[in-house]
Amino acid sequence: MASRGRYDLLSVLEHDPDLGEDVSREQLARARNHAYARSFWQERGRWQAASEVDQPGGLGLLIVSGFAARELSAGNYTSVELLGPGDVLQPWAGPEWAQQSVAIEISWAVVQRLRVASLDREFVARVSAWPEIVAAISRRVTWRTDRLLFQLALSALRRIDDRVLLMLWQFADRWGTVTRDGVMLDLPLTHELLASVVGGRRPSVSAAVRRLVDRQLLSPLPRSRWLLLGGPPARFKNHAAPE
Amino acid sequence: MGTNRRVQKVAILDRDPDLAEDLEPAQSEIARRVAVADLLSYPAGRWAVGPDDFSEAGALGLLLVEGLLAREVTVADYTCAEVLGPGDVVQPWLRIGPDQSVASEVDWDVVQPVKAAVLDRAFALGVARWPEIPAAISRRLMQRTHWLAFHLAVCGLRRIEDRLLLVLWHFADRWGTVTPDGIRLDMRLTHDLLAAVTGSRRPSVSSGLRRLSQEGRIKSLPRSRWMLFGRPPVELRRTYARTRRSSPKS
Repeated sequence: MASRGRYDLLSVLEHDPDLGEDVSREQLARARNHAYARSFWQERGRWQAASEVDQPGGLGLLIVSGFAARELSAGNYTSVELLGPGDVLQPWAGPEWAQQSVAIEISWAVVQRLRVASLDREFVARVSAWPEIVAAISRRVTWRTDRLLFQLALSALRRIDDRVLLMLWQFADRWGTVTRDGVMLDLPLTHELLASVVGGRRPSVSAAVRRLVDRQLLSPLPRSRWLLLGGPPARFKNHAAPE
Repeated sequence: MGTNRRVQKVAILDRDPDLAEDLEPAQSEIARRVAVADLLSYPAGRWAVGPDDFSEAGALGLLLVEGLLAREVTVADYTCAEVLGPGDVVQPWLRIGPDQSVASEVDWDVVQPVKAAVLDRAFALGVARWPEIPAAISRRLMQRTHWLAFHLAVCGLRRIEDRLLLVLWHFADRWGTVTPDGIRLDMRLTHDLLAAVTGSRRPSVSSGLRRLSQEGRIKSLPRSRWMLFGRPPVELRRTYARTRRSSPKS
């Protein structure tokens, strides 16, 4: 990683206060002082993350800003997970099952310039008095499994339009900004990236996007940004969610 | 799963020594005595985790020691499942946010009676002087993201037989036993569960399994157990060593 030598120190709980939500109010200021980590930037493009092997005892990298995509290929088939602010990843780690009969390749790409905090062994030792922080970081990984399972369920939907729209709404829940016109997704979601995420072919996704735009459920913005209009289709909508 | 009972205390590093693999031997011995947790057992059936069943703050999760668990997510009429077994870490008290725009439901099913160690706040505090232990636990969660991404890729395969075979081989890598006849999967994998794992419909899965049996690739055993023969499809396999070189362990 080119920027490995240029670290800034970053206050993790100031950048991501939710990681301290279970720490008692009396302890929070002290925890905040201890919970600092080294951060670095990673430019857009392929990410040779395998060279960044962390020392034992680290929890991974916390995305502070920007977006990354993890591609996992089994044979000729690839799944893509899109990761953004708040996600925790270990881009140097591959599958560890004891024996591996099936070929798997994992690669990483930075979709939008990335800033990450290194939750390394020193960080973990510094916050050891507050297990709530380590637990909150673990939760972030569990949420990744939740979203992957959701993605898995989406991939079973027959209509590509539904898959694209529901995936965009999931991204909107995490990273969208409510504007007067709709919910804006200010991240570069190209047709190709969308196709990988929803398990479709690029031409089918482009056709689906066209139909969604015609139905006024979606509006394209410059630089592969999107504006979501209305809400998810009624039969998929979580009616308990706040409007 | 309504009932559970606190069976005993368990020395985590005795049951799962890999969690201490990054510790120096002398430290490992001390940690072994400190890393003790409650062991809960759950019978087969639906598992409804109540809000007061676990104290979430500071807890690292439940470490599965025995048994088989399925976590199912339903979106509209489609249900997909993640199969979890010994060595996996789960946090069943977490819910997909109620404020999500798209409705989804999460259910837990104990497929085979489960024993799980509770890695609660007290456990986390006890092992805090060895960051390698929480890191190893967190890595188990991270591994689940690999497995799910793998299943997601498998769902892209057109032929149901390929999907089934790859998933079964994946389970065999994790939990299979080599026997003179083949690799035995001594876990209860029903057609329904395999359908949920491969993103397919149950009838297609039954047909796919029948064809694989006819081809001599698998054999159905009593109580939804399976035997695998030969090796995975040639275009989808390579040696373990090559994978380890390209993806160094964290």
